[in-house]
Amino acid sequence: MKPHLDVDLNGLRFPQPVLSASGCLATGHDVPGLVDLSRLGGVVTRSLTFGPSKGWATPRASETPSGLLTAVGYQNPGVLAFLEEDLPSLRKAEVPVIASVAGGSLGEYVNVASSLHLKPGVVALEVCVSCPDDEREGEPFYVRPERLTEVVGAVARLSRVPVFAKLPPLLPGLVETAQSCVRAGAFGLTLIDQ
Amino acid sequence: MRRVRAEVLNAKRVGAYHSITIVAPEVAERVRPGQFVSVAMPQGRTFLLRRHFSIHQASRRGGWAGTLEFVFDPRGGRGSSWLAEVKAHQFLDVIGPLGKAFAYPAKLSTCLLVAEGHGSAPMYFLGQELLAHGKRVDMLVGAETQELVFKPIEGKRLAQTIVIATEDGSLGETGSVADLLTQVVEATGAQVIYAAAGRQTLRRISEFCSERQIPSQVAVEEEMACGFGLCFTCTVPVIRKDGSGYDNLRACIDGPVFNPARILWDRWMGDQPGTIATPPEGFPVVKTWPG
Repeated sequence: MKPHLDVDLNGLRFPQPVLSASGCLATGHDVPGLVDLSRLGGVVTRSLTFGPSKGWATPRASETPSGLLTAVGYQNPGVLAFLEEDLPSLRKAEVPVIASVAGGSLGEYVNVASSLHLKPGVVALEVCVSCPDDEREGEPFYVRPERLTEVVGAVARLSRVPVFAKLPPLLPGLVETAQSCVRAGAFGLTLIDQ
Repeated sequence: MRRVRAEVLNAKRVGAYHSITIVAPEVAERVRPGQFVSVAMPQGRTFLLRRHFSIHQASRRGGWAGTLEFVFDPRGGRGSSWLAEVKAHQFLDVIGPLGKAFAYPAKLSTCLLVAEGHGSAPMYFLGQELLAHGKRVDMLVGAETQELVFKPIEGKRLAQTIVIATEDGSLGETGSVADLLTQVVEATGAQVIYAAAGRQTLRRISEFCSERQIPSQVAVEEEMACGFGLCFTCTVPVIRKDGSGYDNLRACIDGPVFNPARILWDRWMGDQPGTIATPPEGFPVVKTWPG
């Protein structure tokens, strides 16, 4: 038998066990010739908002021992520009795409998710719940478990592809939150959002 | 852009700075002034990111063909102090050339190069290229003290005139390069200004150029994590060509050279940039360089 590294996550298949996390390969469009995308198990896109987002002011990054702290603020071209410019180049590389969904309101999450979930090449969605909530003066969605599950549930109900909830590390009651995400319809969890 | 394993040909001190020359023909033959290279740091827990250095010299011909030199301040941080210990014949993992280079004016012919501290490093490369294009080159070089003025003698050889300024007056004029700008521009009749310096100085140079309608280009410094456009950490707010708004452009692939008249300095340097509103009528349209 030929050795293989492909991964089967309860029906969701990846050719390799290593995926690039959200933000690491931007939206796939600008990836220089330094990385062979087809050697990756999948690419998780930079979190996408509905319209283009400018992000926060610099400085946005700081190197720490063994790591990097970033606060980019969801700068991205918007989901429509992603579909037009970035997704075709990712499809060409034949790499599974997990689209990361961001938003400032429940409506924006739903709009972004519905623009993405039926597109060929997109194998799953990841819901980023660290975005500031416009309805609660910029408080991140994850602060209130009911708000978090509302968002995850809404995306999970409409999506035809599996939905992952991306959880931050320092959440009190993380296990309960994770369980409620799964009850709300999440197919899986992404750990950890910084 | 290429990723190469480059041998260090020479590592030496130049005044207060440190210079490293590497053998990287694939990079050296493509590089233009204003571009930079990214150098990997040693494996381990201390460093995660590469460090980025603008190119001081690149030789395409002659005995040093295929080499390029970059300059840094060894007191700049942990990465720089590690690099200052690198010896000849060691190998560095280098990606380059990165970023957009300075553009040369088509018709205008008198160029003033303004630099502060280690910002002078790319300016010598630019000066040589401008001379090769038949332009007149004048220089205005500044630093805090005499030791921090980078290669003043070479500047004298290269430029038609050079004015040196130090904050403490230990070499040349006393003050910052921005203080001397009016005087130097009037003396040399500069038609185009190129600058590489800290943000405060660049901002003053930009205001001066806008006031006098002198076309200019500046190389900015912003903290950079990846260096090739993936991480979005090195953004600079730049007005769109049609003035309809602004975009946070990445200094690594859309820069580091920008038209300073298009940079929104308040938004880039302000304490609370989020609260600065975009005027409803849009921003003034800035003509494409060199307008």
